[in-house]
Amino acid sequence: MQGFFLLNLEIWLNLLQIIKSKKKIILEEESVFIKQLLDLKTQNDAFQKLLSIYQKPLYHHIRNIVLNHDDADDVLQNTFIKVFQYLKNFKGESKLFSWMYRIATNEAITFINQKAKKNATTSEAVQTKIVDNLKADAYFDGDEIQIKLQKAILTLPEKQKLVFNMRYFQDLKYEEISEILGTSVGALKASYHHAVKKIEDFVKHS
Amino acid sequence: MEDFKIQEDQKLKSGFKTPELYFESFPERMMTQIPIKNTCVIPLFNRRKKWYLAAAAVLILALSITIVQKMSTQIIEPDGATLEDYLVSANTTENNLVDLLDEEDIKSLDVSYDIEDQAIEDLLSQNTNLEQYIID
Repeated sequence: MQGFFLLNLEIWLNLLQIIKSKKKIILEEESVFIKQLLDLKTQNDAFQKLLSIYQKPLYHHIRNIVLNHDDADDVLQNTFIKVFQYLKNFKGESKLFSWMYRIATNEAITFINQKAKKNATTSEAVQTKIVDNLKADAYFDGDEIQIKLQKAILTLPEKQKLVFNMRYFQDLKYEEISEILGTSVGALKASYHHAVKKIEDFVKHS
Repeated sequence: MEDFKIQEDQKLKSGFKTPELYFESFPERMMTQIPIKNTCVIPLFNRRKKWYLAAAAVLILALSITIVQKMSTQIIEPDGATLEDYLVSANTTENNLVDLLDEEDIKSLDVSYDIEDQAIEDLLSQNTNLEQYIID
């Protein structure tokens, strides 16, 4: 029995070692990529590579917040401009992906707040208006249940909305969401669980 | 409505879509907004050339100083007439001239003159400082 445990422990330790070394390789590769982004000689090609890798996930993340395609396009451009501007200040304390997601999240929320201020209303009201008109939106091809799902998501608190969208629609791991939002994995799991319950209740009673 | 369950294995899509070829054209649109230099950078100031230029400047400066110094210390020897005029205008006395002569100058003036004794006696009788010269 003891031998079995020791064998299992050895396997777990080896697995941990493999994960650590893979993480190290990823960080080293990312460090090389960041150097290429900052080097004037390689910046052009490196930035094009950055765009090709991150444009889709960032777009969908932004779109889930701002809901409208044209707004998402604006915010996505602002996000990449900010990434380019502040890349030299990026210290590598988190993954490049997490850092960019954070910028995208802040840009999208700021955009919605500014739109609300311009229209002398709340950000919730701005998003509700868009969701109410989703059927007429040329860039929405969802059915009735998908519209109900979007309406249900709108009833969630801000952070819960973000957690749900990132976990459910974008399939991000809790560890990745934790790095983006600065919240513990445990708190995120709880948040997602509550979000799911609220959405299910909303759709059931709508 | 029937019980609606969020299922991880049968996820609903968001329903959001993009215009045709949106992601294909986005990088190009984005690159026009980012101030990236496409060609290799040619530095405005080449450090190596700067070093050579600095050395050349120092050399030229040194040569100029030397040339200017030589020009300023060049002595133009005045002619006899100019010298005579100067001495007259400066009210130069015999004593002033004697003070300026050194041993070599005196030796060079050592010329034997064929003077008659009577001429010497006449010169001495006219000189009121005769006694002083004997004492000296």
